[in-house]
Amino acid sequence: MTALTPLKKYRAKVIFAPFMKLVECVAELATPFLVRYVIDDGIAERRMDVILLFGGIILALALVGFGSTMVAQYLASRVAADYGHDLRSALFERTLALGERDLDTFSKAKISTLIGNDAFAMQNGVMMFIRLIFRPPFLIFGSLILSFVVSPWAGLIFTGATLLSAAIMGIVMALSPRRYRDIQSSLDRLSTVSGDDIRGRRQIKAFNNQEKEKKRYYEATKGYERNSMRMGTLNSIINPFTFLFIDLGIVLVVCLGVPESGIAGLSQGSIASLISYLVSSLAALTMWSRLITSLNKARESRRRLDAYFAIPIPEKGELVSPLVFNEGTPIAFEDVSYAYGAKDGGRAVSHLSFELPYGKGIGLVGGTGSGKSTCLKLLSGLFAPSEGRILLGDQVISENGQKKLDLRSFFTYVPQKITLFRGTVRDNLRLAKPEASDEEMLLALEKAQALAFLQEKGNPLEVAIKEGGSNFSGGQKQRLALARAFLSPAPILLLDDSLSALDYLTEKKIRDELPTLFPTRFLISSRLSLVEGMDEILFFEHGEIVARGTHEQLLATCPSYKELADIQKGEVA
Amino acid sequence: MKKKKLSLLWGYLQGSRGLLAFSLLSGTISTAAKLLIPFFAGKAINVLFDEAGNKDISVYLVLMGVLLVLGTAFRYLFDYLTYLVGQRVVTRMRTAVFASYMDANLSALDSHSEGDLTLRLMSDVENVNNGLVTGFASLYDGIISIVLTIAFMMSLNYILGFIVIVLTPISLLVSRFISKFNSKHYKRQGKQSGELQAFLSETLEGSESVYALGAEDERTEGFENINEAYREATFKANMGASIINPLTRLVNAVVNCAVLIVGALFIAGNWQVGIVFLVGDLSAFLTYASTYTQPFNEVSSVVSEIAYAVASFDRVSSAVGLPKESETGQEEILGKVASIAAKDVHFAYEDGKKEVIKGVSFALKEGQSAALVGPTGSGKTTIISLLMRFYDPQKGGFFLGEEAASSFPRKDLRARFGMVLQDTWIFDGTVRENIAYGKEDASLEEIKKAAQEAGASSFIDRLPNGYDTRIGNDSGLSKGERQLLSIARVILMDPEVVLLDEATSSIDVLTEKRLSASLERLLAGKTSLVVAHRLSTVEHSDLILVLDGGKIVESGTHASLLKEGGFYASLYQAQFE
Repeated sequence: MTALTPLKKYRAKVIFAPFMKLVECVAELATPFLVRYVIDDGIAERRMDVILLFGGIILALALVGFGSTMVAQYLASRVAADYGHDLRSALFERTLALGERDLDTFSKAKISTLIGNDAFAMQNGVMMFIRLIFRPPFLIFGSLILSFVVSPWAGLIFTGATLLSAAIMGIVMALSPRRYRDIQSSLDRLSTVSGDDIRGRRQIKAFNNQEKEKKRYYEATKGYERNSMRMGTLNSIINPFTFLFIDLGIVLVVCLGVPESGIAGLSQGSIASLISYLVSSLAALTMWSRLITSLNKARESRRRLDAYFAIPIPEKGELVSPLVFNEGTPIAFEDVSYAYGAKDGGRAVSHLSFELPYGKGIGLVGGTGSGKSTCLKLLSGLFAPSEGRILLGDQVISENGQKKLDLRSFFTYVPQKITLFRGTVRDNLRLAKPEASDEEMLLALEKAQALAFLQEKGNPLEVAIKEGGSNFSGGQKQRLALARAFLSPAPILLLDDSLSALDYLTEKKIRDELPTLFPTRFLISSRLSLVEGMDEILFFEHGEIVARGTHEQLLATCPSYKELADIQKGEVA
Repeated sequence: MKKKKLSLLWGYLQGSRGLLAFSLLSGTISTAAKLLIPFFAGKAINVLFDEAGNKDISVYLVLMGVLLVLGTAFRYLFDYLTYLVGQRVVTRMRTAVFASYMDANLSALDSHSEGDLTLRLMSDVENVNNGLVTGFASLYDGIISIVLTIAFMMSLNYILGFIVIVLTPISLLVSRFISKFNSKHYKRQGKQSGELQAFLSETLEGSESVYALGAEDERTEGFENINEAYREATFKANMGASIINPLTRLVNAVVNCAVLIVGALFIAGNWQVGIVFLVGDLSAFLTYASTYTQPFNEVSSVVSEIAYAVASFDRVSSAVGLPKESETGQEEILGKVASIAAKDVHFAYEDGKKEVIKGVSFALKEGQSAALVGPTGSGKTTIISLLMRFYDPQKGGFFLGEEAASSFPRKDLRARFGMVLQDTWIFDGTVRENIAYGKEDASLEEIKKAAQEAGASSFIDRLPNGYDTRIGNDSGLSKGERQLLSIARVILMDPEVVLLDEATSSIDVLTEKRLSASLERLLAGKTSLVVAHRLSTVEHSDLILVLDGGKIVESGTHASLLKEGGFYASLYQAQFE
């Protein structure tokens, strides 16, 4: 698939519409030609009927042209809107199909720009293309041919004037992208400095550096001014020179009427119509250059979109059920490694091998970047290991970068970064279990200690959630996400530091609830209090498990773990 | 626009006023030249086809040649100078807004969001230029062009001229009507596009949850609903917009046709209304009639830009007019700071609003370390801001030795105080520049030593270019690393007094441990005030101030406070439960 694939559906319209546009162009081109008859046959011969006849034809042509153009405009608007819609849908579906790993590597901001700006530029490009692809060249070449018909000399003058004007525009267009990039980069510099300094206003005052910052900013603005002026100087040549060439053409056409010029025979009407052609060809040229600019923009977008469409979609894995769990089914990592994209500097887990029994509570502990979150994400199926394999009993979940089984119905995973979606509490809970009854949902909320604060806001299930859950505090969001997880029918719970914003008491209540709800559970916590009582604790350092055992065992055997435990005493707020 | 605004704008034109006047003059000359060419071309045609005349058009040719040269040269000058003046105004205005941000007092700055401040500095300034400088120039140019065209048409044939003047406004009215109708659709399209983006970013930001919950279908369905509405809004907006051009062309064609027919009948019928109107004049007239409406489109688009620009100019002006930090003191700070004291300090962020500091007093001698503890919102961080004189208390005040802190210039006071905030600040520049922010002339050795003491040297050495690595706000340094750099910065500055707002639990515990070691080195032997979030860090403080609800409820050493068995003791006990 490419960015233009969705356009195939509208092929007939895309081809037909520009032809409708041509009718208007023909009418516009014919007009000066007919004016010639009005002047040379009507005025010169003093025939009112000729004047009225040709005048009437010109009027009728204008009306027909308008009608057919409106058909073309309608088709262009329709196709553009439909194509834009289809393109965005395709992009969105593809985005979700890519999976977490690719989303991460590709950068979410970029994807957002693709579906927003780039799809819009394409949509606009398609519309401009249909509307304008024929009009300017047809008008220009039509005028050119017609002026040759009037007189070869006039044709040459016309060609010269138009070519020179086009050359000026072409030169400016060819030189602008680089200048434009320079402007953009000095603008980026300007935003960086102003962003830095607005954010750092306190520190700037604290270090008495106001004057230094003013200087830094002044230099950045000056840089922007310089680059803008280079662009301005370039752009300033378009108007004067196109004026010069076109109006020089007009003057030369008048000269063609001079009897001594040796090319005599150009009538008044011919001169008048040639002047009209020259004047309108400038407008057509300007339009052409605008079309090219906007198509260039669309081409850039198209390149980006095509690159995005070229990323292969990873296999999803089959959903296998029933998969039977029992006390004896171990979860095993066999020599599992995982590397993020280059931007994370290779932070990962390396050669993890361990086996965990089913039905136990496991704690994962370690510093930032030690690999514990990655380990959980691998387990949840969000990522597939780059090397090695993960097994559940004797079933391979994922192996060498490929997911073999879709195990989402066996794991319920609560990420570190909680997301609630705009809608109601009910909408959000139902994402975990679409058929859940109100009673079930209320029970889940209660167990997650979320019922009380929701009740303050009215009917708990109807409480509205704003975008990203912004109307809830961090702790409340965590409890809502937890309720969502409790509702899920999956038997294994994976929590990635999902209780960190809870106060001690609430945390304890939830902690006590967990073993009965989810005998098999994997918990990451930066607070040791949460994992102290677990059946086993895995201690991570630099992407490896350096120690495992109960809290007491680790205190005794692992100095880093002990150190961590010591620091944690004494937290107050 | 009010007179005052005009004079403000006039101020930004300082140094460019002559250029602006000259550019407007150039515009007038070039437009006149451009319009005179068809006029003389018409006259030349008249002469050429005058059966009785001598058919000599050399005068007109010379005239047109001169006009071509003038028109070209002055059009270039007009376009170039307008742009130049615009850019100069932009620079001048940006510099003024930025300087105002640097000098403004913090309560005034903080009452605006950072996004708003940036907007004023970037887009608003740009809008003012587009509307009031370059926009004004093209408005002027457009009006000159319209006035001259009307004048030439009237002088050629007032009856035809009258027809054109009466008929063309129809096209303007129609396009105005359509635009108005369209703006509704554009707004809807904008709204739908905003919703689409919001939905999209919610989905992308929450992709982990989407995958974990298997909610792909629900999200796709939600996206489809918005996308569908967006499709229809787009169609209507596009369709509305695409009527305008063909319709304007149609009206123009009708007007031209009317001019042609009436003009032709005029000449052919030899109507006697006291005007000499020949074929050449008709040709000139047709040129005018077909280009007459072009400036109208420009003028109407400029008018809307001017309206934007006036609003933006107000925003720029209020940004430039932000209240400055008032300078109260002229005294010199003599010798070392022997003591720091607060005496009955009362403070509210806005006059008349709820006080956040309600009568705080304490005293700290040279070399002593003090800690502020208490629940969130008790006013701990505010005290640091007050000491730095980011704000001034409404009642009471701080004292350095015997002198009121307000009797010294802020600059001198701040030079003696080093501050480390929770929100670390890294600016776009090298690691070296970032560390040397408080001591610009520091040598590389000094910088390295400070980094070493701060415990930052090991990660700096791992950076691709070491101390010359370019870093910035989003350069991928971890929170802990950013903290270490801020500490190194203050260590290098080597202030007499250190004010520290300890980082909360946002960083993981092992980094935390490294941090506390470097903080210890930073504070060693200095007078210090630390806002503490962990009791373990305050146990050795010379003075612990326990803050609750904007008041100091207890103070003393760790031991004495425990013995007292009050608020501090209960906080301390809580951690062992």
